[in-house]
Amino acid sequence: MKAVRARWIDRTVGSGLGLLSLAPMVTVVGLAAYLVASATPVFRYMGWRFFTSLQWAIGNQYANHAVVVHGVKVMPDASFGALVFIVGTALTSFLALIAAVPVAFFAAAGSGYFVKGRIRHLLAGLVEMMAGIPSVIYGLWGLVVVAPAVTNYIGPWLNRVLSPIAFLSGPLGSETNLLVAVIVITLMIVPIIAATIRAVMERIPREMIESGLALGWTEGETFWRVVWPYARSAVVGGSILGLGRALGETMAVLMVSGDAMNILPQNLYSAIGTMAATIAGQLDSALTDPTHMALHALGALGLVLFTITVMVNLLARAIVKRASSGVSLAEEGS
Amino acid sequence: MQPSLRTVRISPYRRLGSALWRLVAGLATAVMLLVLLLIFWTVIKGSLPAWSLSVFTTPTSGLSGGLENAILGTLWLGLLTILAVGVIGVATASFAAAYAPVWVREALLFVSDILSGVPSIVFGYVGYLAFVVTFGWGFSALAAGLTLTMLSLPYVVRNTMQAFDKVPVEIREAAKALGFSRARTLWSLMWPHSLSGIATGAVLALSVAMGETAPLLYTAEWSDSLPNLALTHHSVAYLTYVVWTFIQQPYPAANALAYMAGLLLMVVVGAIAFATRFRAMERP
Repeated sequence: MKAVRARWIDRTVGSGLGLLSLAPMVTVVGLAAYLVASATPVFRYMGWRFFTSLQWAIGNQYANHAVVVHGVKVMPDASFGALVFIVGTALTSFLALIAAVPVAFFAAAGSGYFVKGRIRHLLAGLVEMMAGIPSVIYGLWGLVVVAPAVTNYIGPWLNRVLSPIAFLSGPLGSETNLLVAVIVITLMIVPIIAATIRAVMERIPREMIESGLALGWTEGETFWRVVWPYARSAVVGGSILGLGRALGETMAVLMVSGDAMNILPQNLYSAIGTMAATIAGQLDSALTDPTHMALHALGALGLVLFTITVMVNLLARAIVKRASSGVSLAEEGS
Repeated sequence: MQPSLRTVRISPYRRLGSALWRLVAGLATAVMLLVLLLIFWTVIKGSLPAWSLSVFTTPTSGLSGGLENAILGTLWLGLLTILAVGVIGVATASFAAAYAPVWVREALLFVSDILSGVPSIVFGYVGYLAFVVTFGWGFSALAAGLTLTMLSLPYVVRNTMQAFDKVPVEIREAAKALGFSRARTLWSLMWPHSLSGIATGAVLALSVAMGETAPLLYTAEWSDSLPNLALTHHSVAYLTYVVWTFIQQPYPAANALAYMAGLLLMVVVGAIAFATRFRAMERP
């Protein structure tokens, strides 16, 4: 009898746990389903122009009737072109990545290799704490410190130094602009990239490094010849991980990017719009559209964002896993 | 050939090269730490006008007042999230570890990785459509809590799975040899052994959830009153909203509250992040 009861408990607990473990799958499927359902009428209405048009307008809300175009009901003159946001997202993310990778690599080296003992954990903890700071605080700091600094100091200085290059100089159009957004995003993704690189650096067997030093190499040479080959794929993986974070960053960008619409950036100091920031910023006004197309259009933006960030993130994790297993192979070999 | 007794001299070029590596590495680390200090200083300095006990005892009224509703709201949402994510996350990892075949574990990690890459605003958008509109809960603690749960699930699942992996395989084999049921293995062996890993994951999820803004904007909206126990149809206040909205107002009182909310967030989230790192360091 006791065995039967034990089996019954076992199976019930199993069913309960199994039911709950459907949650992640249900979430992903739910996300995709809602996004696709929102995006379908938008793609039917806009076609490929969704990706090529600069115009984002939710239509004339004061018109008497909605019109039906391509089988979809919208307010007249509605156009949902996402090119501005796609360009904005791509520009901020890639520029931030270019700036962040060297800083993160050297910060990881500085806090993971060139210092020893307790300080290492302290420094590492501090840099990683930055990864946990809420993005709205980065936005706050960007708005209050970085934007005025760019307008008053960095912008004019860069203008003087780089004046022949058209995109990098020119009138400071907006206090919240592309450069401020890039600076803030760079500082946000450096801790993530640095943490990934350091995690792999710390797993490198001590003996390899000590052998290098025993051979008479300086610390810098040992770093270059022993640590770098292992850290190489961690740098790539960590960078892509940081890229994924930069692509989806919402609040900080919303606060410092200038929320541009219908216009592509002229130079580093133009306001820009990104997909994530636009979804967050435009949701309130999209709710005023009686045809709900504006709401669906934001969902279409969300679908594009979802697809890109998920693919980037999965790629990053695959690379990081290979980097870590490469170090494990070294451990086994030594 | 006689071995030379002269010590090997490292050429000045090599010395310079090594020093350069250290310098650049030190500079990069210093820059990051400087930024961290600057953020702290900005937030502390800006919040000074709002430093008084009334911040903790007065709710916001419009654009001024205190932060009581926001603080309690953040804690309330955090509590709901950590309960839900703790249960669901640990259940998921336990099922994969004790009941399911091996491929389920890989599949769950994969799905978890997908979830961790989704931007938080997408969670907010779908959370709005699903919980606020379709389920009809309106702006509510339940909508916000469930959205945050789904958002922070990957952290708990991954940390719990790692904690389970650390349980020595001999113990699990012994249990199987003694005829333990899977439920009993979980209850008596795996959960007690992994408590610290589970706690780390849960606390990490909590700090992520407390720092989120975008998903909450469209699932919890905002409220000037203290949170009550109603799970639906009542919007909830939260600190990140204060930071996001009040800093853009032209009123100094509102700005000071924004900084104060930011300081509170940084202290709590920073302490959690630092502590989890130190606990990781303590492990042998």
